[in-house]
Amino acid sequence: MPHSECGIFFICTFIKIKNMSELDDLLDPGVKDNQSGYSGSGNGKLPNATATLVLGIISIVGCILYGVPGLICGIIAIVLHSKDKKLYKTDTNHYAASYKNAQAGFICAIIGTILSGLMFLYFVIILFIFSSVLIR
Amino acid sequence: MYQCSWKEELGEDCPTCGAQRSFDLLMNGQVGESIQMFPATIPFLLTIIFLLLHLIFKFKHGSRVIVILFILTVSLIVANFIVKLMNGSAFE
Repeated sequence: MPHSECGIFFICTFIKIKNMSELDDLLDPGVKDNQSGYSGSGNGKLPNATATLVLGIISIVGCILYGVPGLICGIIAIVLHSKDKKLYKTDTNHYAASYKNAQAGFICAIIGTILSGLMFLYFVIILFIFSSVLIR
Repeated sequence: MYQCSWKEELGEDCPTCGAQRSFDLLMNGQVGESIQMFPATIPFLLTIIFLLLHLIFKFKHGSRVIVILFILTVSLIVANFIVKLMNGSAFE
């Protein structure tokens, strides 16, 4: 390979690496459609951040009806958060502010889900004890 | 007042038992009795009020405050239930 060609190849690679973010957009145009402004503004809105936060907090009132509503709310919040996390990773600076809400909702949802799950387990265990007593 | 299905069928308190009575007492202005009945009511109401304010005004560290309030509420609920179990009042 002649030297001049080799140099051009390296320069091209260097430019390619530098413009990797633009290249990603070319490869995945769907990502760019979701962004109102471009990179670094910090004002981008994740579509499910508010829903995650609200559902995460609601998941604590799940003792009503044996903890089932709390479990459902918590699990929905966790699923919504996992969707948001994928979108957040496409542009971390853009969604920074909104992602804080989603993260808070996720923490609340995990705590609420665990507590509701424990309540439900407690209820099932008590039911088993009661039923075994009745059978005997 | 909504009748708790847990208490109706099992005849004992669940971890959030007393929340409704406590809220009723709070609405009547009896704050001390309300806290005695169920200590997590006030932090929970604070959490919801702060959540609404945060969604409207978008505070800078709002999400962190919400998480702290939420953890406070949960720990109060759990502590209340453990104390109830130890006193045996849950199985009256």
